[in-house]
Amino acid sequence: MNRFPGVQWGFYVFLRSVGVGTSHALERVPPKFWCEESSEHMAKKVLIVDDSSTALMMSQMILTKRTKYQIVTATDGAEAVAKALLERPDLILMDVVMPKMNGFEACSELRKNANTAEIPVVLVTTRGEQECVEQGFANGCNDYITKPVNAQELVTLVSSYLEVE
Amino acid sequence: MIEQQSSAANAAMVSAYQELVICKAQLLSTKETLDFSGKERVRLEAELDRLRRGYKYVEKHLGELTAHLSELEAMVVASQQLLQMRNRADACKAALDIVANVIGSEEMALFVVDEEQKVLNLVAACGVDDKVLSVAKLGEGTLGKVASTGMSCFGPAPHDATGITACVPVQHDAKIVGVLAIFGLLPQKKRLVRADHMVLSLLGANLGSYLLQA
Repeated sequence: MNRFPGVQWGFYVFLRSVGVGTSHALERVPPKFWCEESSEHMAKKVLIVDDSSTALMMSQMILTKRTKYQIVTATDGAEAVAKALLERPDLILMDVVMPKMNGFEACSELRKNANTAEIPVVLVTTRGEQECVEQGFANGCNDYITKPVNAQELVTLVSSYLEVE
Repeated sequence: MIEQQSSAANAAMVSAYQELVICKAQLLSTKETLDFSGKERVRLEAELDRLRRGYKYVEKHLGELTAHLSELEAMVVASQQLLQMRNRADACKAALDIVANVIGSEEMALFVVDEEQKVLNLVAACGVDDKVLSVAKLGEGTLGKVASTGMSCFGPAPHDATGITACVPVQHDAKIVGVLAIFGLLPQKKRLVRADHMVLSLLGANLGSYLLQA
């Protein structure tokens, strides 16, 4: 019987081969335990992607001070895709103009992978013109917000995607 | 028979009189209840009015606190970025980054004062025509006047063809060593607010020592 509802736990054992030449034996390595809470009990996670350390710091500070969401960051589109696969955030705030891979390309890559296809992506852009917005939606983003980021607007937008109804 | 009728009439009269007394008492009681309800209604309406005024006051105060918090956040972020400056290149990069992401402008220029030539030399710019602003004379135009007087300028100055939105002196050891100017704002940024003025003043107070480096 699981004494901790919402928690999955278990243990795994490694067997290490020791010996020289044809003489081998198996040595048991002390077991390690793992424990993770089920998703309903963990804080929602937001991935913020921006090549500007100023913009990253600003968004991170706003969300940390005003919400209880867990924040992870990335500094370009390629790192964003890797982090999204690793961290499985509940929402991604993505800058547009970035080195290596821009926000549109990163969004498009996220949509191609089944593990990240459903993560909402909000573009954070200095350009709110219609053509930029349309390009964002064409690449699979869900919403956008313009820079400089307004704290209340950001919190309202993020909460609208993350709050459980 | 007449006596019987008389007695019956008397009894009826007494009964009616008693009913009248009861009705009168009930009427008085109902009137008191109505008076009390009326007074209670007046009291509750006054209380409701007081609560509405209190709510408006708290709502206004919350708005002021939220704006103040945003100002503090902008200052903290700008300060943290300025702490990482090591040389002139870092200072220029930090200034551009802060102006773009905290204030909301991608058109800015940073000048250093040349005391001998009495001009302002362009050090870094973004989104503006370098050739137009490569050299500005001290004391002339918005840039020159800010460099000469040390007085910040917010809002477009009359008869200024350069389209400057804000201009602050850059100081080092109480001496004006340069000028930071912002031109156009991003389309979604309608005007500069108090937080932007504070951040610009912070930049002006902290970029000076790095501008003087080669």
